[in-house]
Amino acid sequence: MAEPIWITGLGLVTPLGVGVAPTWQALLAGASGIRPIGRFDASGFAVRIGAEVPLGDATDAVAPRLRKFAGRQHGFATHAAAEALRDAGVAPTDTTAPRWGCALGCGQVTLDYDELVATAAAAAPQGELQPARLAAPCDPIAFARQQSIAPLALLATQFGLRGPLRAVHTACASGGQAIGSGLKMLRRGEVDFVLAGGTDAMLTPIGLAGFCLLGALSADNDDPARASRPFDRTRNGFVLGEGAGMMVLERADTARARGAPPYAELAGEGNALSSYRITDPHPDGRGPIQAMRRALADAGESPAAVDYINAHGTSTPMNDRSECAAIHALFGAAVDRLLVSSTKGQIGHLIAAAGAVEAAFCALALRDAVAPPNANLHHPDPACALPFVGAAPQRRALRVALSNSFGFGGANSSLVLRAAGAVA
Amino acid sequence: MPIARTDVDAVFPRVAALIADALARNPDEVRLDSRLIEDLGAESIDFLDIVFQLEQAFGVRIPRGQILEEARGPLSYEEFQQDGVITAAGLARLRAVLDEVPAARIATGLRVDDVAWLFTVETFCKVVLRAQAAEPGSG
Amino acid sequence: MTRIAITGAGVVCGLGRTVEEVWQALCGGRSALAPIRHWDATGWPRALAAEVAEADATALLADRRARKLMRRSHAFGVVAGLAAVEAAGWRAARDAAADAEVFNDRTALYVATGGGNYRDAYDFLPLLARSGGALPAFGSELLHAVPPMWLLQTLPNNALCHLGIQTGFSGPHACLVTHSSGGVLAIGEAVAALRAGEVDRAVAVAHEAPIEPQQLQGYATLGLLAEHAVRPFDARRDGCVLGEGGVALALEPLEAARGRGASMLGEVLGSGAAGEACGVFDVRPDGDGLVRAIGAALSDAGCAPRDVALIVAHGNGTRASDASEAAALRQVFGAACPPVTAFKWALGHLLAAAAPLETLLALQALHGGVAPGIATLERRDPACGDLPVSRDPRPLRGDTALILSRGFAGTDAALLVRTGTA
Repeated sequence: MAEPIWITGLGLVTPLGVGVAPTWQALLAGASGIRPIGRFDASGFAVRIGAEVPLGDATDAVAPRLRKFAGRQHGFATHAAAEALRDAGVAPTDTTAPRWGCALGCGQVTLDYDELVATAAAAAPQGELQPARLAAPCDPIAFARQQSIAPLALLATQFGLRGPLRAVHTACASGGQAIGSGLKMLRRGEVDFVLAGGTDAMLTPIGLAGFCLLGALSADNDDPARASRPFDRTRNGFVLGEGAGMMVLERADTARARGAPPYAELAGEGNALSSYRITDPHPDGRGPIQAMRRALADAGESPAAVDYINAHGTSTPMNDRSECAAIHALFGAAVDRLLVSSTKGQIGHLIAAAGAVEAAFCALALRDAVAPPNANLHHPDPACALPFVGAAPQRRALRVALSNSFGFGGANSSLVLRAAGAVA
Repeated sequence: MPIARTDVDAVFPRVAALIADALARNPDEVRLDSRLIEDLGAESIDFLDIVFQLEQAFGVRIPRGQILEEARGPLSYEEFQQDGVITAAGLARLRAVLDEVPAARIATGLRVDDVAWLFTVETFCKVVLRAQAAEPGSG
Repeated sequence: MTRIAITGAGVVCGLGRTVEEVWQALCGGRSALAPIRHWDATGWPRALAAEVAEADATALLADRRARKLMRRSHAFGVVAGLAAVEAAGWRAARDAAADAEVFNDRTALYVATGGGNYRDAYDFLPLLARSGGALPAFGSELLHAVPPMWLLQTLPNNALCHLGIQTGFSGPHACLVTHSSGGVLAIGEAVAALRAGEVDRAVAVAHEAPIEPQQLQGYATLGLLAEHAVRPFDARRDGCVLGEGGVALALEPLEAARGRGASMLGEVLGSGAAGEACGVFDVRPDGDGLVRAIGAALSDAGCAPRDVALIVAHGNGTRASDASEAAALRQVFGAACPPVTAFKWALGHLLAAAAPLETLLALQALHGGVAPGIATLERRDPACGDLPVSRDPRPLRGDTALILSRGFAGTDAALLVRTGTA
């Protein structure tokens, strides 16, 4: 039997707080991280609410030497990584650095609004780019910041991670897939430690625009705290959020040798492509079913062993219905012993960070024997009938938890976490 | 707001060409009564695309979700639907607004989420005509 | 351990549409580097690129409906991926399989790409010309000025999505946005999944389309672009030239390939990766990351340095990268270094797609028993020591090649392949 992989450190930056403790307390207390957008003037947009991280300058955790390279998503990742390493009580040294890997789900990179305005003014006054106007040196620091790999570069440099490094992006499944990738790096023996997670900061004019164009967001501007209501029959879209979740992963024997207690075991991962359409889920939920099935098989667990599901539960009409159908199809009669919640009712949708933050919630749920609540689920949808946690957290011994993340482009990710010390 | 047949016929060629392009169909496959989902293979995102293209082509503004709003008219959201299923009053309004759709298809049990299955090419011709009527001088 | 065969390949790049076509061009001393044609680069001090001829790459897609959903880079990835699947005969095999669904579920797709283009954001320029930088107007005019599918068209994982839709393959997957080293990582993922028996076959795809004004401007500002030619390891080298395209490898267990009588291009022996942790763009002068990546690849493959008959260097022609790469090779191979060549003088730098393409060319070289020369090499840089590079073709003895790949963030990767599939 291969050595289990443990989660020994967590770091969170979420709309509910900066740090694991404030986020977890606020989550269990039913607080909402969704408010009118305050970081830019969203008055012209159809959607004017979001789940902002309560950090004015998100880059304060970035080493001074690297800070000029950091935007908001880089800053979130650094905050969460620093906390996770501190929490795990271990960090790369000159000798161990080559055995430290990193797997990071990071956000879609494009020009920031301000940079695009500058580009437009300099080179596209009529709305069409005139390349001749760009034939001069640009700001090299901005160019660095705009690289998809920049968040990974900053983490590796600041914390001295010199093993295999990978940045991944599968839209809303990115964070979950990055953690799954970290699990595989450890199992294959490529590394002894992995810093894994996701970061994103799409709550910008361009990011908001992208989702507004798709009509995917709730426009309940007058009632932000209630706007995200996964599985409620009145749900009308998701709420865009931002943040990061990072974790330190290592083999149980390594952790035991240094006396480090685990939050939980990262027991399995599963990916599947829907291979159907870019946004519409497959009517029979095939991709999500297969991702959950693979993750459970990978963990050596059956559906009947699962105690808690942190659902993808975005609060869009289509996602929630098809996710419930998929859970029913896979779990059959075993749905009755489940507890299900979507924490997006309180923190919104953190896109590339969502899967990582929600996997951390699963680890905390197992450690504390409590399932986080479903905020705003007041009108059950007959098309979404599952044993949902209510408005208050539910205390119960939990052995196995499942975290779902399903992304645009049909990428589906599931992770299985097991209470540390429990037997497969 | 009755819409004259001749007006529909007048905008049809441009609307049809645009829909054919958006759905990668041959122009001769797109008839006035073609259903976008069942006959032409549209998925949900295509409706957003087509509305945007119509705005650009005809120089009009088409509020998103306009067809449902038109159908709901004076009814409150609760009067129009319950638990996602359209009420009898809602169905009556929908039949009037979507008069190009055979009334039998607008039947009890119809869900709000499934209204898009009713849309035909003519539905979008009328969307354009209503938008033009709302903005005299456009076209 | 399960041995892994390459049973199909797909290529779209400036030098051709098949591996053979690219190989012939390269051996003939022909390069894809030319003045940029797809946009007006008049007045640009660095205006060379290795472009694919089509101004509209989505026209390469047979599925008309898919065209409007993809951008240039995605189209290259999908075209290459479909070609590799076709060459491996997997669609026919699936359609003949007793259970097509199981076949699809056990076929993996691993994609690598730079992720993020500047031109994707240009769809907002007409809106900005109207809103003039006023955010409320930007918000209120948005739906009437920007195509609604913008976000979906620009998803970094879009090629993965559409390869899935077009093939029906639905197994494990990844989309690596790890700059240039991602191509080797994608192949490494495929090999690991096949060895572990998680899947029965896997497509590793890489695609890029970085030849756009603001990207070029950034690379030029960093001093990474060459004026006239890419000259790996030459004393006069002054940088690289960007290329574009897509490359895909179809991979499956060698026994399975043999069992179904599939033709094999070669075998993947192993791979390794490491990081240097020195910022976004820098590399360490001692080539430390590369040394450790090569070590990891050799160990993964169960090979020793003396087993390597050919090294295809990253050789991007920049001052710092080539010098540190030579230092790394000196440290690993000492005085017994096998012939080293590099292909970017002819291909340009296809970023994530560079190493997969160079891997296919390395196999051609091994098959032919000849290492192509570096046509632009005039005088080897003394700083690159006695690295065995040559302007002329050299005979090869052996069947194993090492391919090196280096990306931003100090990410290094190495891959070992061999031709003998006996």
